Amino acid sequence: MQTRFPYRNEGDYGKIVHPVMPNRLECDVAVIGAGPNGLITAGYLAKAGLKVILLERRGEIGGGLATEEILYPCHYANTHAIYHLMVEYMPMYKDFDFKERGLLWIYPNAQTGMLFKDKKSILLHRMAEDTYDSILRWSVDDARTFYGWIKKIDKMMDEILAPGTYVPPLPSLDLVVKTQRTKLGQEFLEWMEKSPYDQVCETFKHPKVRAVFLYAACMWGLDPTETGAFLFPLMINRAMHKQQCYGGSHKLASLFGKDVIMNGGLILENAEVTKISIDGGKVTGVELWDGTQVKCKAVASTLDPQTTFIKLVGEKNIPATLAERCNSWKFDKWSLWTMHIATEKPLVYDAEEPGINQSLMNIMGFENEEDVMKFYSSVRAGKLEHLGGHATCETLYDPTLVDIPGHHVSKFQFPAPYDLDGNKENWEKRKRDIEHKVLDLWLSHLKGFSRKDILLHSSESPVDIERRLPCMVRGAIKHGDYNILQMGNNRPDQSCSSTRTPVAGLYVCGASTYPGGMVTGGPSYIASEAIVQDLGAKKWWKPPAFVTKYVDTYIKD
Amino acid sequence: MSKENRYDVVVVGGGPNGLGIAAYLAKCGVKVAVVEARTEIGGGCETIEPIPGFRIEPHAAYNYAGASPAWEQLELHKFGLRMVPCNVWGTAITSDCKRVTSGGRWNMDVVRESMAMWGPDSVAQTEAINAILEAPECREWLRSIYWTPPLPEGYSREPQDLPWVKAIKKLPLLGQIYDDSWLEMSTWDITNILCKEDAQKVGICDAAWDSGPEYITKGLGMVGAAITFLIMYASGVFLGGMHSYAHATMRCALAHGAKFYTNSKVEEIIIENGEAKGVRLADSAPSPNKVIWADKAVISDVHVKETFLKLVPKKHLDAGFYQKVLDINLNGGSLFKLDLIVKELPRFKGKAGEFMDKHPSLGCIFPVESMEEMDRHRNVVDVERRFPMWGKDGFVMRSVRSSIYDPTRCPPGYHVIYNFFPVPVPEYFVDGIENYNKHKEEMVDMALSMYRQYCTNMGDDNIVAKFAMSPLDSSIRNMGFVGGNWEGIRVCDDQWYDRRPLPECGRYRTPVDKLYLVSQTSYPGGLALMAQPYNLMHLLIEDLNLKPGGWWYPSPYYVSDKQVKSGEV
Repeated sequence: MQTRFPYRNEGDYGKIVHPVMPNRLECDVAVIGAGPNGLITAGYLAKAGLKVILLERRGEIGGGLATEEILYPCHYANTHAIYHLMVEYMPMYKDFDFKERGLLWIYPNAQTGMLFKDKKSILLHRMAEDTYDSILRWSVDDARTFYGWIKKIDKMMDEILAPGTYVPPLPSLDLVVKTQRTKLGQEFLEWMEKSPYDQVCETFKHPKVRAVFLYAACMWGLDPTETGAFLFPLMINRAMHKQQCYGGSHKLASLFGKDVIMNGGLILENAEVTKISIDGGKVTGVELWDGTQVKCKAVASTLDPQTTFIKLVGEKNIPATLAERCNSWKFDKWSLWTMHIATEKPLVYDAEEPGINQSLMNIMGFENEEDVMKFYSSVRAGKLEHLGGHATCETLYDPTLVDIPGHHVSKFQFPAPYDLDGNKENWEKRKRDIEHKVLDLWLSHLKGFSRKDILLHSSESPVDIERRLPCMVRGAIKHGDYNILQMGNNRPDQSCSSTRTPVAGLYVCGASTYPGGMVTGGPSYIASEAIVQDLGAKKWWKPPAFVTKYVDTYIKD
Repeated sequence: MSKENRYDVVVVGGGPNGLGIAAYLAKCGVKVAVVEARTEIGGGCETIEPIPGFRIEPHAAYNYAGASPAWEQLELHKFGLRMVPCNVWGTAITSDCKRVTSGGRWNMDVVRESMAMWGPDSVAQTEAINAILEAPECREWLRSIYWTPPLPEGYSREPQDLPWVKAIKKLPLLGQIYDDSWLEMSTWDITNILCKEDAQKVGICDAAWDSGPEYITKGLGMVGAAITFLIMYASGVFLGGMHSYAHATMRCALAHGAKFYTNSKVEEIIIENGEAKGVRLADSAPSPNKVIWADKAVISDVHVKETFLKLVPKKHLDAGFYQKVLDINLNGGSLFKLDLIVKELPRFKGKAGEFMDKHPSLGCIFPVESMEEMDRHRNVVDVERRFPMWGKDGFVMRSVRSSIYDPTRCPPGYHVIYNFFPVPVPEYFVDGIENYNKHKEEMVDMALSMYRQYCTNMGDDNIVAKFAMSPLDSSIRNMGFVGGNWEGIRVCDDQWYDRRPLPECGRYRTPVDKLYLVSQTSYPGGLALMAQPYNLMHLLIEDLNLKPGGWWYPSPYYVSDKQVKSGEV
């Protein structure tokens, strides 16, 4: 029996019943994908007076900024992004009046804990001296080292890494030469020559201290053994500066969505793009799955390079080198596995250190840096030989995530390969088994908690991430691996890391474009400027002072 | 947030009606804020994705609002509203699975084929119903009932002065058989005039019960029968799900300058000197300033009981009114919801199954050949106030299968089946509200065993996931669903028209000055018709001295109380 009927956006219905959206639309810029970068691009452009249509495949905008009722009914969770890493640096914070418009961030002092079997722990804080105190419980030397080290890292973050996020990349050689202009820059380059594992082990002596920094440095996708990891200082710094969006991460998406609408833009959900139309080497529009045609002057794609250039634009419309690049694009080495649970009481850890129960994130399953190495190498090999991960009680700081006052929602997550033991089907087969093992580990660290205290639970594997957000191909949360060949000026390719591409009118501004993913707003900030400039619209925003300073010091000739 | 939050109008609740009135007011240039307790606007217009790739609708699923003037006036199509027309709107199946009746607007051949199972008379009579639907006057008749504010006090209620009597007389066929005795009838009585087969009568009565007045309700027969026309008029679902409708309406409001506060539960409607002045938010609201002032009006899009028993401080209400609010009856709309994700659509047995396999319909109800079955179901729920048990009590299952027509709902190779059926109001449950949710599993098992009786493929291997939600869960999730009633309050003659929810606030105004009601607990009930906003606009244009542009047109049947007072009418 035929049980599915194709849908076409056709006008007859509107003639008989009531007006519906026409199947031909026109605008200045069509933005593909309403994830953080699509929303930010659309927001900047709409405020610049351009007519924007933001196209989203899902039923809801936000992409990874998703707060959903996955523990149905009555319990919501941030299904994807929850630890916002760059909030205080994002130029959007001021450009879009986050504060005045009620977008609230929780920035707790207790940031990242690591729990050990003997109820002892390390807790990284927003305030360095509190972290110092916590490390002091393990090693006087390491605590002292930490203090100097973190000050240097903070400086690298403030002066180089954070501002670099919002400036188009220089060619690698040029960048190296210019970064050497300062002592801090020279040191930054020296650090790059070491792998995260070497960095951590050369800096700290105590295995527990090494473990927490190594896990935190690599959890978002840095390979512990690869050199050239220039994001290492950023990851360390951000392990102590995460913020949680009050009301759920989706609130951040809503804010930009509102700007698009208030400035005359159109947001279309259920609008998968199937083709980017090119005529004479120039973009003319896009076509949607249901036959809707959108005519436009420019297209900004937030999708990965394979989808944008090969599937939507077509190989014949791009240079052969770019096509080759796209076809050999490496998606993330690992994705994430996440379980959410709903409980009637908050999680209380059986730990001596008092701050642990206020911590935004607690890591468990590791006793030393070798455990962490075993974990990452097994994940990289597509296996789950060592179980460990990080947990967060999302309602600790955001009671609005539940409809039943007093209830709580928490998550447990770990970096996980897409092909488990060589086959993605294994995630479904081993779902129950993995859930059991995770609960065993998690419960072993909790006080007065057993399986019967868990009202609802739901787990999502890398395959599930891809099904919920197909733009995260192979569960790639950053749309492409963070390795030196795919970073900086090479992301996604030398011909388009500035967000402009070899196709006139086509821009790339997703996580697969410089500087990468993690809701930094970097690619979209850079693209917005390029598009506004190319279309002759008014650039209404000014770069923040820390960015200008970086440009003066490290970019200008 | 600015130091002082001050607007002309504050709308409490961002359900479809709250969004609608905000869009209307913003379009008139009024400074308006919508304050929503939940994290997402939309109220009962929700689409969620509890497991990746599969969208379910916790509450509303159909589009009933196709005839609404609000859609044209607010130009929702400019904000992305798209519809999926459904070729076969609904099918009703007999208990022996031998026959079906189908309804729909876009493919009459299928409807004819189903009615031919019953004989040529049934085909002819179905053609007549379709002719009524296709007549241009049908829209006006629907609008005369739903999209016209109740007549003011002091205006004639004689049959010839009632909007729907004036309108029905213009309709082909229906206009010829109508007589004033219809005004006293129930839906059941009218279906007996319109239809020959019990199966079809059950279909129409079921639509009435699920979506409006109970079919036995005397005096509301025309309203009950009109429900079927409302649904058939649009015969479609929202592309992407019900939440798309909320998005379009919200964006219309936003584009015209409305402000939105989410995660902002209102704790109190502030009343000074008998006038509504603003709202006070709960501590958990993100805004540092917990008071939002309303210079001209506060409009409540939350349940009438919630409004007057929780938000308006008791001291501002007289004891008589307060008691009446307490007494408002909640029966009739508490629906148990079971979403099933399946690999294959349910394959019904017998000839019915063959027909269904050939012409999968959006909606499906079973069994339907006798009204007794439905009567027993109703009595268990409303009179005995316990959960119905299939096999022992009467039981009619209803389902919606939007994924057949809308590919965005789930990946290929799967379907999402939205099942629902009436159960008692939690507050009235015979064993007490605290024991109510203990019956959830039992209801799920019962629904599944019923499916297994009627279908050949509803074993565990076909069911990928199931999500149950009881009316009690509904009421916890959403302040609009007190008692889990999807229509807000019982649709009965005493709580209808200018008596809905109470005579004191039958025209959206309330005993508190500058406080208006717009939720589904006001006339004409639920269904996301955008009717309350349109109807309320008539009054606000007068009260707030609004000057809408050329896009606005009032109901031709609207009578202002000023006209009555001045003796103009």
